[in-house]
Amino acid sequence: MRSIMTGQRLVAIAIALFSVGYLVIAFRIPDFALEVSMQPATFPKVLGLSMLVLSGLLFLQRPTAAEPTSEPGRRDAIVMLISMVFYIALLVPLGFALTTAVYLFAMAFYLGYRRHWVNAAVAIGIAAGLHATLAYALGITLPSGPLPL
Amino acid sequence: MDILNQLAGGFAVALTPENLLYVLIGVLVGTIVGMLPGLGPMAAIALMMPIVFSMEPASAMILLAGVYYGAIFGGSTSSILLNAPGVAGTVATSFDGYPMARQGLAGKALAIAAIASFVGGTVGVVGLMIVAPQLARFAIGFGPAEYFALMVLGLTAVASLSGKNLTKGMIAAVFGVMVSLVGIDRQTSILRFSFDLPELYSGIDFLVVALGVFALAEVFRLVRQRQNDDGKSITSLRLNRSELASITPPMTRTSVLGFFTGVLPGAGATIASFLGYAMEKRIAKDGESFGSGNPKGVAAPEAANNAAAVGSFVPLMTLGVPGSGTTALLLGALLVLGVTPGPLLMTERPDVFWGVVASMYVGNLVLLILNLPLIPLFARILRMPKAMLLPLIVVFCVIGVYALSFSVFDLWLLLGFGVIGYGMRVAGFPAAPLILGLILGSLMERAARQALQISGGDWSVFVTKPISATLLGIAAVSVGLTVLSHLRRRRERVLVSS
Repeated sequence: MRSIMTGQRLVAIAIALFSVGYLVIAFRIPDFALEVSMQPATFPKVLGLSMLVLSGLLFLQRPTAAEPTSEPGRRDAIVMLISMVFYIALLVPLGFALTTAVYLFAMAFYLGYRRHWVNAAVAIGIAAGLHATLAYALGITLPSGPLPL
Repeated sequence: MDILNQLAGGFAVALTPENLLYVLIGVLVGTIVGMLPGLGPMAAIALMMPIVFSMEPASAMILLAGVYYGAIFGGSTSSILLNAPGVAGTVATSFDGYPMARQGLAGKALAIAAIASFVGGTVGVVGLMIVAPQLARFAIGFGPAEYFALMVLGLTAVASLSGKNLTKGMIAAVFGVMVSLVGIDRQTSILRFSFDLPELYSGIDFLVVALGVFALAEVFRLVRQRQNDDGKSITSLRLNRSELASITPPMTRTSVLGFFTGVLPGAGATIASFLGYAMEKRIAKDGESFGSGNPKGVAAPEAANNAAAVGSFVPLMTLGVPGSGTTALLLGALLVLGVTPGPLLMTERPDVFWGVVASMYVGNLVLLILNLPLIPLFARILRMPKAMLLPLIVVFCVIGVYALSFSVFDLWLLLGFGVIGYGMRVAGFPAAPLILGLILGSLMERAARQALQISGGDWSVFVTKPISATLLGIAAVSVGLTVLSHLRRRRERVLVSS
């Protein structure tokens, strides 16, 4: 027998919990002191309730096929996420050019690119090229970090 | 005559060296991004958006429109060569395009796709020129109540963007509207859903969401299938006269059909291409060979989806209401650029409207004469190692957001929306309704408030004004029909499985 708790139902419960949280916040939005055609909380309340109803509908539905996930695929996605966390966290302290070059090289290496010299040249070239284009052509100042850029 | 004069003015805008360059860049970038499986026009437009924010509105739209139809054309290339459509609008192209490629006729299929795209695009532009001014003249008297009703009608597009599950599409749209409400309420200055974070006071930037749920989420998805597909090699692109003659009538018919399908809110390129394909399959004498490499089966959906892409500009430019996810992105870009599309656009900013129209002529020509000889070169991009491509897309997203706001907080938001977008894909939620909700949400609230203010708080204003009532009626009927067809399909599935 198939479990009653399908993935879709779990998603529906998560959405319902989110809607309840949203509604709680919506009901705490203060009313405007003067009379207005629609209070700032009105629309959010309608949205929260709609979401709650929709999550209920989703819970009752026969699950539709979701994309299958494979174990190595999931690991790659998680590594991608963690690498992005590092990339964003280090962007200002280490500067755009350095972080980007390291990020591009490391990720291409992780994802299986094995021509290391080509990889390094591409990573450094793209990072330096982007920095130069943004800084000199478009006048956008990017964090430079310890490099004298 | 008036239209021709204005069109001449449009060409004066489109043919400046600067704008010509933008058309060229737009079409090229669009084609390349659109070719990459998984990345469609939405991702292409989202990636280009940070660049256009400092540009003149007319130039910006010319560039983005070029990206849009370039991406649709690019999508057909990967449909034909890899059987992996980059865009939903080109799925129908793969039905006959890929069999042709397997028979060694990849070159011919690509040439047909290019010519059909050109014909579809050109017919679409003529239609846009004729229909848009009429619609704008009609819409000029619209008040807030009518606009609210129009936006509700625009939101019904969710129904057709939802794919198999309407509930999931609606959940995505409501979530989009919720995101649009974060920050200071413009009418009352009361903070909503900002969690005492000053970074959220001015709301969540539309670009952060667009790049997150389209580009970044695609990276997460694509990383799971890291091996490269082998493309079919390209053979001669030349078509003989009888081949051209046989595809001309289907192309012309489906162009007209595609244009009108594109004008309707919610229909768009995907539905147009399927409708065009189905119609030609029924009409053609050799209809039974559709699906096994019939050139007409490539020409029909290609002409239809390009005409529809242009057709979808009609409601965007004349009413300011997007009928699809892609035009919702374009509307977002226009608003950021300080241009409010609507019936007054043609009189207030003729340079933007007619410049875009004229640039579409130019763009279609560029697409044909530039892309056709470059196709073999483009096909090599399909072989670019994913290991290098995916981190590069991440870098572009990060630059796009950072260069706009110089805020690391926005980068975390970008990552957050990337994860949400990926989660949505895994759980089978469509992303396009989210963008539609995000763009229409706050506009809808504003229109409703203005209408209620004028009516003195009387909610019946939306159903007592004839145009507003009609529009809401059409919206209700369209939702009703979709729900019915979903229910019928489900019943059929149940019957089949039992």
